[in-house]
Amino acid sequence: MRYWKLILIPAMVFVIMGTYYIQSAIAGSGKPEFILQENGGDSELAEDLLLRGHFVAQRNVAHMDNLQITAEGTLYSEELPSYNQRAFYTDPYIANLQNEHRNFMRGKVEDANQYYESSSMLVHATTDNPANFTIGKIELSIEVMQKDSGETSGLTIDIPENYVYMYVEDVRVTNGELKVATQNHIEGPSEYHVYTIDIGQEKLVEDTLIGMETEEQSETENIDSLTMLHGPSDYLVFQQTKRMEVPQENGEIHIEPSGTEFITYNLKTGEQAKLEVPDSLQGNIQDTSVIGSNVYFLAEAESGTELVALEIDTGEIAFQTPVELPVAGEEMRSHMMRVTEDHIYLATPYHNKANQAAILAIDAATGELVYEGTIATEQNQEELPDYTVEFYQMAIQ
Amino acid sequence: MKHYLKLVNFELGRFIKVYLVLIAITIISQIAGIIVHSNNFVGRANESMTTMEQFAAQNGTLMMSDFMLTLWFLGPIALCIAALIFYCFLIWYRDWFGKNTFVYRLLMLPTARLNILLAKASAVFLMVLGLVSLQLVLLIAEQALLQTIVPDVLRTDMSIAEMGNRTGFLQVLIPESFTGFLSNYGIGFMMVFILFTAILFERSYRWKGILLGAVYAALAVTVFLLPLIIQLILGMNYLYPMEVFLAMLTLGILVTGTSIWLSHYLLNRKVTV
Repeated sequence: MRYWKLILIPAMVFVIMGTYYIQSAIAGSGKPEFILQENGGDSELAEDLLLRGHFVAQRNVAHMDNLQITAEGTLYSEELPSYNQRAFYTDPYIANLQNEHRNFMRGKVEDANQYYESSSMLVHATTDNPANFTIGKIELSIEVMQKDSGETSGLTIDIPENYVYMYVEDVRVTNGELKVATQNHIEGPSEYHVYTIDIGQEKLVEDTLIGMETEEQSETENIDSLTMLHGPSDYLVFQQTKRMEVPQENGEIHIEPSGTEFITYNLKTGEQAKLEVPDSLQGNIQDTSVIGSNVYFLAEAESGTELVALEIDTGEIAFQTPVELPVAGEEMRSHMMRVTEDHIYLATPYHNKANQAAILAIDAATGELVYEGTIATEQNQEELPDYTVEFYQMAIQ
Repeated sequence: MKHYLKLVNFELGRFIKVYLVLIAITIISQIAGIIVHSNNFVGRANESMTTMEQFAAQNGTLMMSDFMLTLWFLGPIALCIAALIFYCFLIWYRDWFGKNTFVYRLLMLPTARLNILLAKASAVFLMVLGLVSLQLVLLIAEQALLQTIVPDVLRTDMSIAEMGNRTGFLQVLIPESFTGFLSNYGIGFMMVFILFTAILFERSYRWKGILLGAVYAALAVTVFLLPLIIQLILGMNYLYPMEVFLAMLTLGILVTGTSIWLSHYLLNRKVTV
């Protein structure tokens, strides 16, 4: 055999490599195939639901991966080509924008809060912050694309005051004016501002500081934190928690939380108002969101967790409904919340063999429970190795 | 085609002795290594004053990925890599500096000179893949040996993918997915052709050729990495992942094609004996 080398080496490579890759393709990963199991309500509501999380299996050695669960089943990041792993972190809203407006979205930050989309235009606002966390000048860069003509125009606005950093938290357009809500930081708790910009004239019309200006100063009570809520509404809503200095018997001073309230900014009138949380619901307010003219939050009541809807206009409670989501073992992470124009989705952020994660959808208008589901596996649980899934994102595709 | 295959066989034949020695060293070192390593571990467990379970709890269990970081395992792999890189140079320079300036006869063969180039590249490639296949089989054999030597409670069994996950470098040699395999070895193939072009520059223009070869290699690699360089300059999101992939695929084919064409040109027109 003169040509044995020429036959033997390629044959060996083909047989061994071929067997290895074909076998690993057939055998699959042996990892759980998660599905959304409907336990009641309208299953259509789960059709566009997407949950992403970190998966850790303890078969022989720890195995880590990211996964995505939708109505279609489970996708592990290992199944995606290595060049496209980024897709596992891109918000579906951003992914849609990238598909539809490929060039406008090119090179732009994948942060859904920085975009505003209407039937006629797409707006992006972002900041470039001073390097190395030093105080400096900040510019707000805005790009506007008219959808019908595809024309894009850009403008930059000099922010009058200097900050260490500034993040765009929300972008809206009302009556031809652009409103950009930002979180600004120098020291202490962050400030929130709403910048009103005249797009045509390319200039800053108004700089509104949220909350603090209207605050009557108290020596023993001050603001602990201010955060912003996100949701489809004509209001920008901010959540403010306060703390109080409480003198103790031994002379020491304890700092204790003294309550949560909401500050609303009416996009149409530019007016700010305070929305008080009833005393009975104070303490342990977990997740908050806003839809239309209601603020929604989870609160611990005596009977358990409740979803509360608070009307912004009247300050009245629109409804209060019990929420039964399993508490995930010893995990203290709060539930996940995501809102659409009509529904509030809630889910357990943690899933393992013993504690199944659950998902609820609640009608935003009536407080009615309209969908109930759990995360289940296609395989028999007994056959699976021990695993945990920690969800990091819930979204509506 | 027949000429090409004959040439590949011929090139394989000229290195087969060294190649078989490399294979032998790898098998002996890794098999001996797993036996010694496993027995050591079991020995330590037996000598300890505790039960096997306690020993495992204190010292952890033995697994393939631990063994894969020892010199027994890594030594022969490093040797093979070094030998094959050396072989990429040897496969050309031997023809000039060996006895009877063999290249003279090679270039006089009544066949396209491109076949000489392709045959040499194929030989290198087959040898690389041959060694990787051998490693795959050895991994399975080594795990089986580990299982016979080390009792259940003292060991943790792993799949090849898990070994890769834990050691990292194995994922480069044997990627988990077939597309990963194609892209890794595709890049490898391209690098071999770039190196061959640089060598032929040197063979054509001697001292000046070293410079030309180095410039060409740097240029070729830069062109291939262009999409990533663009990302670095214009921001990580500037190109979409699919665009980066397609661009690198196209540029990879372009660079490989250019290298082959240039090598062909140099072999036909410029190479001197």
